[in-house]
Amino acid sequence: MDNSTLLLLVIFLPAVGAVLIAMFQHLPPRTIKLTAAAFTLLSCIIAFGLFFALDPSAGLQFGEPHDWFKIGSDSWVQFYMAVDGLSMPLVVLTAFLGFISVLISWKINDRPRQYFSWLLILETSILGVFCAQDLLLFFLFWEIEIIPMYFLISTWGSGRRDYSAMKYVLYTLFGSALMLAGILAVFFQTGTLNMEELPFATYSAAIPMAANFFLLLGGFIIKLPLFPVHTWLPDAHTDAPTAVSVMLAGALLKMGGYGIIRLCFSVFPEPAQDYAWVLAILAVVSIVYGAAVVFRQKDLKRLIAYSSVSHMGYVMLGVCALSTLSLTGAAFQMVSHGLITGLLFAMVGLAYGRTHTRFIPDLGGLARQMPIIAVVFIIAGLASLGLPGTSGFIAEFATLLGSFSSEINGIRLLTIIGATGVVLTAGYTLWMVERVFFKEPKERWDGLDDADALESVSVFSIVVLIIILGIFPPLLIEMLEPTLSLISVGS
Amino acid sequence: MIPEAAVWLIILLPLLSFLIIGLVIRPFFNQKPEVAGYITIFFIGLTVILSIWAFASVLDSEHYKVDFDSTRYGFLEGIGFPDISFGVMLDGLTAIMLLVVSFISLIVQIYSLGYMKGDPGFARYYAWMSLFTMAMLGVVIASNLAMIYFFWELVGLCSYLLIGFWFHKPSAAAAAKKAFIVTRIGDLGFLLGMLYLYFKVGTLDIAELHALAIAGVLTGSVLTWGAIGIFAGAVGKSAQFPLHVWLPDAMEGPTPVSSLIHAATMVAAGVFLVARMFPLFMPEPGVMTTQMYVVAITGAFTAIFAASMALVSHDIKRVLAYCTVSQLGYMVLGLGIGAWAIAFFHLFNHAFCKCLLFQGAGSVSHATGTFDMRLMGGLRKAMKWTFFTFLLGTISMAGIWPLACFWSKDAIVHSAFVIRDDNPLIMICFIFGMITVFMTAFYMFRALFITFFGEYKGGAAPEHGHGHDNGHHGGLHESPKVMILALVILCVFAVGSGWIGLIDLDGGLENGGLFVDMLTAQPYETGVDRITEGSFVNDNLIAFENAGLLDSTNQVIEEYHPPQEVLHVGHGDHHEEVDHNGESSHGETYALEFEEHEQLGFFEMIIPSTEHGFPLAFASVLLAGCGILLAYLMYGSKKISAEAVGKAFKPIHTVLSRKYWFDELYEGIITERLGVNGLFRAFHWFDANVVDGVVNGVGSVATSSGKALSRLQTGQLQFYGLAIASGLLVILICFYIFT
Repeated sequence: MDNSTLLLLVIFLPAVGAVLIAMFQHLPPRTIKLTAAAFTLLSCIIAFGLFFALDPSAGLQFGEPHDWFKIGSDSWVQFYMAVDGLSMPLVVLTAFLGFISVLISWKINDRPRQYFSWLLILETSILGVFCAQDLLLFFLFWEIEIIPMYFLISTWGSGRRDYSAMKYVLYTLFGSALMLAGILAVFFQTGTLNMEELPFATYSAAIPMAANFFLLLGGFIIKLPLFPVHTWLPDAHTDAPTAVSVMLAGALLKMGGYGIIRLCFSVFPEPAQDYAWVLAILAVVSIVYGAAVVFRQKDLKRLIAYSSVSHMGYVMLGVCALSTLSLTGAAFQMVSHGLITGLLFAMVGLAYGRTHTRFIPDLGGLARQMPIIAVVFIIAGLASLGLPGTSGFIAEFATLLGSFSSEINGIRLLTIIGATGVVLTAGYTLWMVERVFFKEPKERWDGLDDADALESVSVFSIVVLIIILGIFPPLLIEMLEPTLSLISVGS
Repeated sequence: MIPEAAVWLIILLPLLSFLIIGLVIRPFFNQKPEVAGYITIFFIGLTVILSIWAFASVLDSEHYKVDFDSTRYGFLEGIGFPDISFGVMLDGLTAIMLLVVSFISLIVQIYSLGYMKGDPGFARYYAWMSLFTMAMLGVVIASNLAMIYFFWELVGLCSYLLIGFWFHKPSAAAAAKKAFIVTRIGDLGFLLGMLYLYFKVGTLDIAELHALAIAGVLTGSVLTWGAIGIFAGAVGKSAQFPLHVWLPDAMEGPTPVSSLIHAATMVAAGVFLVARMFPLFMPEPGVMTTQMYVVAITGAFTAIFAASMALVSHDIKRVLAYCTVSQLGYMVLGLGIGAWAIAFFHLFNHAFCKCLLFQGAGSVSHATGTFDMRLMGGLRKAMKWTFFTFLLGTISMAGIWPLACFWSKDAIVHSAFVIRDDNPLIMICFIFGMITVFMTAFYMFRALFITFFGEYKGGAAPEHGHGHDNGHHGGLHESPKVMILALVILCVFAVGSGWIGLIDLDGGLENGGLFVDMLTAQPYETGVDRITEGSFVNDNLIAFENAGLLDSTNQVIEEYHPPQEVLHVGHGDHHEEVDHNGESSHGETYALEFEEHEQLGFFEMIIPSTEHGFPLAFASVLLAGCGILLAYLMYGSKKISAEAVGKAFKPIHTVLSRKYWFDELYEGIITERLGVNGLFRAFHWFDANVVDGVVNGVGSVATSSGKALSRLQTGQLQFYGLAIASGLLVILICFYIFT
């Protein structure tokens, strides 16, 4: 098989699995889970293989444009799935987390057929977003993702799940409306939907470039999320089932960052440079404000959700600084945050599965009762506060170093303010760890199981990736850098 | 000559030990945890041997620096920034520090065999200790600031894990968290300093930064702020005011951990960092800079400030902890007045002495089950070895001739004295230093008298969670042999290590001789070679000019004249003279020029005198003697009632015993009132009610307007007809008006 077929397999294997699971009505739950695991594992393995086969400096690979249907006089919507150094790591991340989220859903026995079908479709739609190179195709995958998310949250969620699911859908659709307007604007000006050609296309002066830029940006900053359009995130995260939180934090948010880099900053460099400072301010507000709000959270999942807002602020800061190093740092942060926060949500899920509460004041002393969960949770927390040896450190360090050396006006002051997030993160993370795992063990949690073998393997495999990226960052940096250096300014 | 691979092994061996314990012993052989101890001791023993090899190689090499064909691990490679890489730097500073860290660590591991025996976390303990040692050694061999930062943070992590070793104790969990967060505030400064330096000069390589600073390329506010940023990191790790609050609480960890933290790792890292980056603080030897004043004042103030709190503490480990902070203040003062070799000499002496004292305190608590000195007393009879070694450590720490700490402490104070003229700030530093001498002697002997003299007050049941449960109640007893062994070895050094610093490599004897020789050979002398050859600077001329750092680098280099004699501040040489040249050219800066020092007679060296002929060393020993006497009168013979003194100075006593309310300020007011319950609460309210309120508001407007409109759907044809008719009417009117 050639590489382009393999790429299609990576993207669509989960969907095929979903269709199979959905087609047969009376499969036993175990078979459903094994099927889901098999298809996602295969997709994950191929994705890793392609990662090492990719030549990062050769642009888009593993796919050719095929005309799909005609619009207008001589324009075609194309079926064009391909990857480059920026999207490949995100594909691998999604495929990997997709597999892990199947494993940590092993204890789901409420309507497993529907659950795993939606979960797998979700994975395919995210993978599609990262690979689509045609604007309409991109938008299609972007929209498909909403459906499984809605059902997963509203059916298998907890708390105010209907509210949260609806909030998620409305927020996302609002962003999509802006994005669609942007896509149409771009199409009517250039006559093409091919994302590869957009940066070099000629734009008629009818619509200001800044308008194109901001219309497209609208959808992405909601997904990222950036202050002040972040409030869907804590609700969705808190009420979603564990595996969906993992996918949401790990892969879905990255669609926002990816879109900003790929469609906004690459295609419209001039408005990007003109308005970078505005976005950088919002990024820094996200970092500091998000971290500050974390301190007030008493629900473990909500706490981590807000920390996501803070961490994704670094992505935006790095992108806005527009230097090669800062962009690479931002992209590294996307992958790193995906692994780390995905792991944190998985660990919350494991703890919650035993204690049935996420209310922090009720927890405490769990390190004695569930040592494995405690160790992995603490590793994830330390990685999240940017400890050397973990991917979090590299991401933060590269982003801050790159942003500080950038040419954008005022970015240095913003970087300094953003860097205080380093201290705040340490503060809330360690405080959380102390309240949940340390101090005297509580009797009411005596006799609870620790993580079982399957759970241990799945979470430790994330830990391994976090540490590998923390010790051998060139693995990822060399993949990202050639693509990102094309859109950087001044270096 | 040591190959580079062997230097890497110095950090890889403890790492290997950590991995073996963490991945094999702890999961699979937890029934036999003592294996973990032996493995750690074995690997750290090998590290000591390699460190000795490294030391010998450095002694043999030119300028006391071993140059490797740097095979560097490009850490952020691919972005075209080769300067952020991992490499090894082996010079005099590295060599001495390697010896101190690996040796102290080895002793602590041996001691822990006895102290931690029976603790359920035995294997975990040794895993963290191995990692701790590795992280500290990593800081020491690093050739790049980013690499220092990498290991620096790992040092912080390990101290977090070890201080919180008994994490089920709320106080231990809180202390661990506090240590990490407080030091991280300093690290933020370090990080920003690095960002600034990297932005301005495009490198974080230490040797290159040295060269740039010495050549005067890196100068002005860039240098000042870069250096102050780095110093902020040191303030956090070395527990200097105002980030000193974590160290006394760090007592919550097992005592051997404290002895390691206080002697060779963690707190030593801060002083080491400033020493390592010293040319950034003092680009031209002998010329004070803004950043130097900041360092000196911080150090001097911390010395006296911490000592004052030690005066009233009842916990023996807390007394020692404040003592550490105070002694670190001396070291930082030494750095700040340019006597960096001497400051490092003090770090060296202090390491053995403080490790000994902590292990003595551990031995005492092993017998009595408490650290509260009020429950001890009279231990000298039952614990002869502990008493004897603790006594020698106390004398040394109090700065009594001729024990180790005397030499270095006196030299620091003396250096301050030498450059004090016309410099009120340094004069204040000197006075602070002298007062601290008195206070140190007093509180050290106070602890000694309360603990070992008088009547035994019964001790206490072993602290809950304190790992060993070996029935201390059956009367006092001496500690296990491994612990005594460690004490005796350390005692030898605590008494004699100062004499190592008297050996001059040129053949004579001189205070701080070895250190001055080995440290000052780097980086100024070879740094100059580097510049004149232009290997780095010339390659980067254009870059620097673009960065607006200089008008013409070449000019700067031509104007640079290497100093004839590197700085030998405060080596007890009475031929030092103060020259006022620097004043005329720099106003605030102050230059010292030293004549070629002559070989001194032994007694001249022992009794350093000032230019006025007054032997300063006598004064400081006399002050210490007064302190000891006062301690004896109050706590030994009880001629003066300590209670009465406490009552007479009640307000002061309260201020001191409440630690100047810094904990309340930081935790109660800043963190809780202003932070979590103040600003953060406001943010949270804003988030829930304003940001989300708008969103929900939009939602409910849409819903209610939908509902309102839905009422129009009555289903009555007449109503619809009316609506259609009126609509048509409106259209017609509009049509009529607009056309």
